[in-house]
Order: sequence, then C-alpha cells, then structure tokens
Amino acid sequence: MPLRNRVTPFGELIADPARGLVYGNRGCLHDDAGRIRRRFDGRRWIACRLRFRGWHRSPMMQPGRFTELFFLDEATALAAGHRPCALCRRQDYVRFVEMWRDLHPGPSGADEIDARLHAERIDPTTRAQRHHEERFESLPDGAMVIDDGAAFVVADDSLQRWTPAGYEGARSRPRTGLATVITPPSLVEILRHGWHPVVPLLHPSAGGTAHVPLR
Amino acid sequence: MPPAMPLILLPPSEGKASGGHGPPWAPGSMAIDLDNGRERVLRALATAMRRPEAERGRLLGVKGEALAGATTANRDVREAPTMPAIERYTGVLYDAIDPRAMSATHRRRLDASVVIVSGLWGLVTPRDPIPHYKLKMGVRLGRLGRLSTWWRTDLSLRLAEVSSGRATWNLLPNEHAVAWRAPDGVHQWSVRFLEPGRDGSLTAVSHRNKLLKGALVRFLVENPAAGPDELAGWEHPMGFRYDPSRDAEHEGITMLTFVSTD
Repeated sequence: MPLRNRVTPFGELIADPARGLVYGNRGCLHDDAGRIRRRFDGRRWIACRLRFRGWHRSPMMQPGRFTELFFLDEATALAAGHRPCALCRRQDYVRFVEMWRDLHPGPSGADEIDARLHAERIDPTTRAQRHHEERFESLPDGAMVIDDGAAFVVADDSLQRWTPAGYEGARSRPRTGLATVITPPSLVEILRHGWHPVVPLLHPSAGGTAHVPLR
Repeated sequence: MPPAMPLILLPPSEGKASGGHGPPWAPGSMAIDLDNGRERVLRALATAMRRPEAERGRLLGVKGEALAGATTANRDVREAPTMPAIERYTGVLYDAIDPRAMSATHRRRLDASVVIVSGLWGLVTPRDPIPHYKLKMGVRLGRLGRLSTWWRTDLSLRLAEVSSGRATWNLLPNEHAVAWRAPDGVHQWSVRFLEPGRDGSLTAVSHRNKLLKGALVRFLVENPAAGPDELAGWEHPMGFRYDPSRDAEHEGITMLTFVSTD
C-alpha cells in the first residue's frame, strides 16, 4: 500500500505506486499514526536528491519528524512551490540564491526566500494554491500550466499532461494567449534564467533535451 | 557591501544563570525554526523527569542537591522565565567572550555570528530567550535515543542554509560536532591550542581550552572578515600564536593550531 506522500503540481499529497525522481519535505505533515493531517508545516518547502551520502530514513513518517515527500521531477517540485535543499543540493542552492538575488534585491537568506515563496504559492485567505497568468509564448521549459483542470508541463513547443507516473498526451503549445500558470512567479523566473539542476528537471517521459540524469 | 558575518558554532555551557525576566518559552520565539524538534525533546525530557532518581541522575550526570535542582529546572522548563541565551550561558567560554564588555557594534556582530548547538533547543542564537535547564547533547533521551543523532538531519539542513556564503568557524567539542554534517564544498575552520608538556613536547591544552576559544571568538567578532592570514598576525591575549605550519585538514575542516609562546 503506497504512502500518501507523492506530490502533484497542485501541491496535493496523493498515494500512488509510481516512483518519483526528486525527494523533499515541507515539515511534519503526519500524526503519530502516520496519517497525513496537514498540507504543510512551516514555510521551508525543499526539494532534495533521492540519494545523499548513503543516508536512509527508515521507517518513513516517524512521529514528529518531517514527512518524506516525492515528486515526479524538479518541474513538479517547483510547481508545488519547493526550492532546492541547501544541504544535499548545495551547488543548486548557491546558484538559486544568486539568481534569486538578481530577481529580488535585498536580503536573500533562506527565511526571506521561503517567506516570499510562501506568499506566491498560498492564498492567505482561502489557503488554496495560487496561480497566475502569463503569455504562453513567454513560458520557459519546466513551467506548469493548467488546462481543462489538469496540469501540463511546458517542454519545447509542446504541453505534456502530468501524471504521477510521467508525462503523456503531448499537445502543441499555443503560440499566443494567456496561460494559467501553476509554478510560482519567482520560480518561473528562475526557470527562465536557465535552471539546470542536479536532479532531473523533467521526467524522461517528457522526451526532448530538457531532462538531466541524476548525478 | 560589508563582509558577511562569519558563522561561529559554539556549545552551550553547563553553567547557567538562574531566573530571568522574559515570558516562558513558546514556539516561534527563537530565530531558527526548529520548534517541532524542540517540542519533541521537551516532551521526552518531561517524561524522563518523572523517572526514579537514579535514572534521572544517570541522564543528567549529577547527584544529590544538584540533581534535585536540575530536575526542578527541567520540570519547570515550559513555565520558567527566560533570558537571552548569551546571558543564560555563564560557563568559562561565555565568561571569556564577555559580551557585556563589548561595544554595541561588536555585540550586534556577536548576535549575528554565533549559533549555539544545544541538546534541548537544537540551534540557539544569542538573543533567543531560553529558560534554565540541564540536558547534554550526548545523552540518550527515551525513545529519541542519542540527541546528537536525533537532531542531525534537522541541524544539518538548517545550518546548511545559515552557513550559505559565510566563513564557518566550528568551535564545537566532539559531543556537539557530531550533531550536524556540513554540505559538500563548505569549508570549516576549527582550532586547537598546544602548549609544552612536562617532557617538553607539545600537547593539547585541556583545562583552559574554553577560555582560549572565548578570546578567539572576541577576535572574530572584532574582525569579521578574519581568516588564517589575519590570525597569523594576532597575539592571543593568553600567550598563544597561530602556527600555519601545523595546519591539518580533515574532511573539509582545517584545524588551525595555536602554540603557547611562554
């Protein structure tokens, strides 16, 4: 029975047997019996490597410890509003902070970044995930958009439908018009500046050249 | 642009001031968010303080009146008044840092530089309000097991963020140093002090070690951009001098050696 710890681009937690390529957490979301009780715990939402120094967390969902989450790929983690971990993805984190500093002059410590991202990903009134609009033609690879209620990733000239197991059902990216974008605005800017993380940006099922193998 | 403040990692002290005038500890009151972990340790500590005297004594490493006092402090830890950590910790290291004698500028630098690695609180900054308590990082606390192991992932994640872009001075004893792991590529500096033994060979200073480190912290606060080059020209007030020829590197930590000039 799979645990309810797979994250969709909408930030929801689902139980699905498919494996993800990116790991992460947003605090302790489960109770002592391992049941998911909350969507997030704090503002530190991070995305990690699957493997790091041989560290193992077993069993998963230990009482009081952070809930282990899994994402299909980096594009999914970014859409859900997670940023790279400063520990296991040090180089990504340092580059992320440098890019962030260009986008948002001023203090750029983890707390400031997380506060800004939290405001971009969660509506404080409804506590629902926030979306915004951008022109289709301006969106970078890896950005996620909504169409017919489903999530699609932008990959070259196509939009590919997200599923827990990979991407399917490619359609042409519209050349004009407004897209409803799931990925928070600051993270879209990071993608636009050329984001090449150490974890796969896109699951191999997306095809093309935008995915990078695990190192 | 001013230089980034160094990150100076220190252990807490066994010696602590009693009392305080701040409100009781509450989640959200400390600069580095580790409140989930703190709540778990506080609950485990409360359970441990209900155990028989012999068990409490083994956990806290004291007997008699000292054990009674430590037990009371730990039982009251959620209701007791608080004071800034830099005032709470009164051991030799903190006496030598002597923050009260610092200028306002140096005090602000101290506050921005020092992070204390604690068995109960995880990470503590100098202005964080904490109550009186007694709990070592190296102990096994009920179901949590050894605290240094229990904290390791959380402390490593938080310190990875806190250390970004800063020189890291790891002045932790081993009991606390094992409670975190630095990210790849982050270089740390540590120090040791050597003095001539009875046979004339250089041996590590033990009893004055904290005193010597306290003076180094003062120097780093006064010279936030200091690295080994600046240390080479520094006369330690207790008669030690940095000897670059004895630098030793191990797993990303450069051990800088100070040798007695007496």
